[in-house]
Amino acid sequence: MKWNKTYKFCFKAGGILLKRDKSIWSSGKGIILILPGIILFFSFFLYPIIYSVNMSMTNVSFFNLIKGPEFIGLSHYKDLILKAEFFLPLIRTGAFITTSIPLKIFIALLLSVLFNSKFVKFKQILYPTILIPWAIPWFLSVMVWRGMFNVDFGIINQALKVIGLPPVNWLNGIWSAFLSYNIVEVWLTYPFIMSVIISAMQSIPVEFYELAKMDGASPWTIFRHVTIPMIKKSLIWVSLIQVIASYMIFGVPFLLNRGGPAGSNEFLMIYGYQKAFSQGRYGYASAFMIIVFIILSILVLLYSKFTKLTEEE
Amino acid sequence: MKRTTLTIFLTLIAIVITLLFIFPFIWVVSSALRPYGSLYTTEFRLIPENANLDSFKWVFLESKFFIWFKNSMIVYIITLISSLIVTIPAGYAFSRFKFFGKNTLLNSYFILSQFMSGMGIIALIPLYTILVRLKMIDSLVTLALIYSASVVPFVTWYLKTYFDSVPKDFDEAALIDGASFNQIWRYVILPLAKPGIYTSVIFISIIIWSEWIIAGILLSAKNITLPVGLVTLQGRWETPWNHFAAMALIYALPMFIVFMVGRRYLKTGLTLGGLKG
Repeated sequence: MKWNKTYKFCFKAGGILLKRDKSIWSSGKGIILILPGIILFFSFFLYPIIYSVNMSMTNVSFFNLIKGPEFIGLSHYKDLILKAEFFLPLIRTGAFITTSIPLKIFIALLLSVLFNSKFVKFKQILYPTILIPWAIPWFLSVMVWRGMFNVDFGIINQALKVIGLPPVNWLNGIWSAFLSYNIVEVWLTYPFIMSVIISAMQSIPVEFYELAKMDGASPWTIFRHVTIPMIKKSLIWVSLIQVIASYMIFGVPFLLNRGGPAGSNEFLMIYGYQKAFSQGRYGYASAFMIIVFIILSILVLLYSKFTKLTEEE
Repeated sequence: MKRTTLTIFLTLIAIVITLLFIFPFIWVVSSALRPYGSLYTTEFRLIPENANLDSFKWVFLESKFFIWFKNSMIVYIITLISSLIVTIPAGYAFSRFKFFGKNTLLNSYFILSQFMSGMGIIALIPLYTILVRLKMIDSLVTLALIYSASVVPFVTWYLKTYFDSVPKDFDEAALIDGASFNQIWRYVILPLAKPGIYTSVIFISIIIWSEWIIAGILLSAKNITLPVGLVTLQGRWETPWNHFAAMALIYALPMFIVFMVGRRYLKTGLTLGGLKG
């Protein structure tokens, strides 16, 4: 009932504006209809982020949260930038982006070529089956992988034993943990990337292939000079999306081993999260997250510039 | 001759690769059926020896499954109602009305929806301190409001594109004929928007049903939702793996069905799938 009243008010308010306008659609009531959503989003996401600028200049922590913290100026930022505490997680994240994205794209491309090939039969069964990982809540998949990576009873080490290889301590070594993140991340994202690439491949006109074949081109030449140029745009788009997603990566390393061993693989989001919720240093963590947020906004703006450019083409 | 061997060869490779990639899935199903003692043996049989349903019995009779499920449902229902109340009119307004700053706002909604998962973690730290001071922490309603705020950008944008595909003539005619707002809302807008609303409900469900990061911070141990419960269940290897696998399967089943059936219709949500934490 209350909502009905609100809407009635909205329309009355709109009606006043209506008389001034010739078209029914160019009036202010649109703004009133979108306002509740904006207020909701603002109060739970934008306002906290603005508020965290204020927090980042205080020593607010778990211990003085209620009592009230002291203002300490820019000293957190000094620690982060001048003492270079920010750059280690940034470099780790950069390393993860540079390894995981080529790997993801390469594997998804191979799968797409295979599943788009006319020599593969039963595609109407196989293709939906290989997309199954997409339909499982992603954090559950990560936990299943965590079980499979277990040193003692994980299925991967058992399989290695059967082949005759020594067991690997997957999640307790710096590099093996990094490799595990890459494996899980590829496994989580290949269905998405693959379906993007396959739908791009299927939109290539058949005549292109027929013409190339008539000229006597080999399958590799056709792939290199017909398929790749035609799907290039989708590949770039999907890579850019994955850059942003990998920059924000949190769940995979957090659930596998909390960015361990001993914090040696803490990426940006995990580092900030741990500083806030394991150590209770909210002020410091806010300063950290503000810098993370600024870089994220730049990445997202570049991404949206790019997608706009390709749309205009 | 050469073509048939190639066909057989590539089809076999495709089958092997498919099985390899869905192996983790097969493994969970088989370990849920396994009796506790045979968990740590090297047997690769799909249906294990002495398979039984004891783990499922554990989930329904001994675990906290129903408490967590109840909490999840409370959050889910409040989120669904509050987000739709806010986004349907907004999507409609974005599609029909002209107002100052409309395109900028719509573009920022779209861009925001692309990196909500990261923004959720960034905003979580200040949000936590604010909610502690306001004594609004550890409440399922607060959590639901945060969730519905987080889906506002994407669902509004999606509903806008949906309303765009509905001809303007219907509601324009009703407005000119002097129908009251209630009438327009009930007899014109809602019926027209039904398919779009259904798809939005699926989007919201997929996002909310698997959220554990924000819920894990804001809720205390006795109040947690199902995904948080599953994460803590395996936190210290205390719970037998077959019990975890059984609960995970029950939890994942509804989303699995929704996803497999609705995959074709969820094309617009593709990017969401590529952007998980």
